[in-house]
Amino acid sequence: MRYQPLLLLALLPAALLVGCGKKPTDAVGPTGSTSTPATTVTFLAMEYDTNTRPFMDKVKQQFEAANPDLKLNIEVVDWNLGKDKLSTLVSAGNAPDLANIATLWLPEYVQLDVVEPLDQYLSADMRERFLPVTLHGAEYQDKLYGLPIAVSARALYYNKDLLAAAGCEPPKNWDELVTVAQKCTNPAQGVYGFGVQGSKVETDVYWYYFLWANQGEILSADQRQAVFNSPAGVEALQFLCDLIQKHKCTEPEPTAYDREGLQEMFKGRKLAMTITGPWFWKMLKEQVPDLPYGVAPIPGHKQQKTMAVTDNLIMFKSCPNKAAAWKFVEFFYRDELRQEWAQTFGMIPELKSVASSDFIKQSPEWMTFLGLLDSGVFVPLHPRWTAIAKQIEVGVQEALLGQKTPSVALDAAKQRVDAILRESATAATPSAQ
Amino acid sequence: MYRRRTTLLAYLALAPSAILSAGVIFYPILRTFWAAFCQVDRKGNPQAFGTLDNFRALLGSEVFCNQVVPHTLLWTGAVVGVTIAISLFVALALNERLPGRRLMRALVMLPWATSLVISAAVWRWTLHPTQGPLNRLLEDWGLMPYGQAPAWLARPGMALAAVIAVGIWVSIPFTSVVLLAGLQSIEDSVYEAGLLDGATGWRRLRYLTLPLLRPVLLVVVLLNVIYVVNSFPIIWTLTEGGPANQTHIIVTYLYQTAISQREYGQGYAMAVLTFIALLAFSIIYLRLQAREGLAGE
Repeated sequence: MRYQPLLLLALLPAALLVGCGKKPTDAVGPTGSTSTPATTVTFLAMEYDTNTRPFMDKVKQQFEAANPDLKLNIEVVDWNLGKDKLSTLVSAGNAPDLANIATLWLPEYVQLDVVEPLDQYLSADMRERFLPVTLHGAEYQDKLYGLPIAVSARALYYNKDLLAAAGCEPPKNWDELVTVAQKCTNPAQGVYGFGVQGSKVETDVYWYYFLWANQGEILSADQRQAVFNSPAGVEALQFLCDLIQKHKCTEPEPTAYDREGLQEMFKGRKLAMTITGPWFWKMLKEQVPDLPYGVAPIPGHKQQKTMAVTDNLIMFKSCPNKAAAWKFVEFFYRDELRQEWAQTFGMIPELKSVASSDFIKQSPEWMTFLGLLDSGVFVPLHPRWTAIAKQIEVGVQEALLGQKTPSVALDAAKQRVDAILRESATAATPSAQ
Repeated sequence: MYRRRTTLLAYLALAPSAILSAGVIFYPILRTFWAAFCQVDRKGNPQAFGTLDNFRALLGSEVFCNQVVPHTLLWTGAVVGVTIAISLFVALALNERLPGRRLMRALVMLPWATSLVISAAVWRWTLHPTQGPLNRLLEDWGLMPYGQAPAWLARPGMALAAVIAVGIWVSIPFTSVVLLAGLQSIEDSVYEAGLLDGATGWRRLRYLTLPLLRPVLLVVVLLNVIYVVNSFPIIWTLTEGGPANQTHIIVTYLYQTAISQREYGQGYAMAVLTFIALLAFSIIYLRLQAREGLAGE
């Protein structure tokens, strides 16, 4: 057969999974973290924005200058690819010493038994320096697994010009949201009242804002079943669908817009209101300084809620020199450095000293976000959260697209999520031996 | 003696690449096959061998059976079919002695020189509902009312059509270059002889060019099917399989399932099924072609 060599090409898909299941002992990866000298600390840093690299370079210089016997290797990676990159490294036994991760990923890594609890390293004095609520994010199964590196909540951003032109104040509840959004919508000019996110990461979260405002929950307290298809959940999703399909006061076809897409639209003055995090006002100040914006709590319904999110700095169990890694952690949480971090990225400070500094107190945006922390809800911590969120995302998208009614879409999503919960409950039992 | 020594030398020379192939191609494949029949932990490590659970879970998944597999077939059929039709036309045109032919050839090749991710990112921007140049053009030319031009990548049905269109766009350069090479290998004397028998225009294409191009077409179809089934970057960059799983094909779904969601077992099962399907396709296709070829002569 003349074409026999071509058959080899058919072998490509199988090669896709190469190396996914290597044992730690085979690990000689390109990052080579296992083979580097013990005095090198490796840190996989997720990128918040374009300031991350220069910031981390400076941290590296300062740390190495202060500790001549230690070397710091910081690799900065994009958030969107970061999770898959870290998962691959962990699976291959090439985990870095330190990484900043979304708290949502924490249970997954704890279940894999690769994260080092930090209770034994964190002195009482150091613990005392943190705002207590910011440490809750990384408390899982009675242990502290990380230190908050980026604390955020979500708020409603509004374009003051567009609202003033429509004669409106920022909405405080759902009814006002509809009215204001309708008044600000002007399709002829491509201007829309309220942005609804329907694509990519956190599509599900956009619906949680309304679920929580309506006193709904995502999972039952024992995490045995999904309860988001409750009347509260259906009503919340119906409200979002009505904004799109009935009131026509959102951008057309929200499934085309991810969070960044909505932010871009807001920057382009084509969107009167959207919900996003504290990084956005830094972005607005830098990129469109003449855009007058305001920050307000997310409109409530039965109650006013927002999402509280912490990213955490975690240490991996495979870290060969934990004392050196912890030395870096202590260095990283000095007041000056954390204040600079807050100023650079616009995140909510996690240290009491920074939160009470004049710099923060003089900023209305920071004070709004700090105040919102108290009404913040954390998304449930579950080892299969990524898979669960994906199933909810699909349900939300089906409803936003009008393919299914909210109750049909959510009932179907509940079935899929319950299957994941059941499976992980049965899987947890044998491994607990 | 001399002969034996050259054989030995040949084996020695081949050894490095043979060992490399064994290490990076055959070992992973065998391991994937083995792992597909194991319980797999969430790090992707195979545990106890001898279970069909991975396949059962996969084939019991509605998304996989009702969306991913049909979409993969549609994606592959449409991309390969349309690509070859267009590329044949392009290759025939570029084979004519036209002014500016070299420039045209270079232009056709250009997308090939760009990485797939970059091409796809450019298309994602081009197809953006409000900022994208495509919708701007449609609106400015009055083909769509302002603000009504569709979000190509966000509507069910349309999203799959849009990723297929981009898939075709990136597949054309390679396919037309191979077909062009095939056309150039046809001797002018064949056409001259054909001319005497009255073979011009359509008849020349139908009875001379296509039959002589047949071996090349055969390769092009096979290569394209294999590339397109396994093509990950275009869809991932454009839609990540969304909205609501509408544009997932097996490889993107495999990535999401195995790497993002740590269902490595189902990932292995998908890889095995895809491998078997492509291998079966290749064998059957080549057999059929070989038989037809013999019958035709």
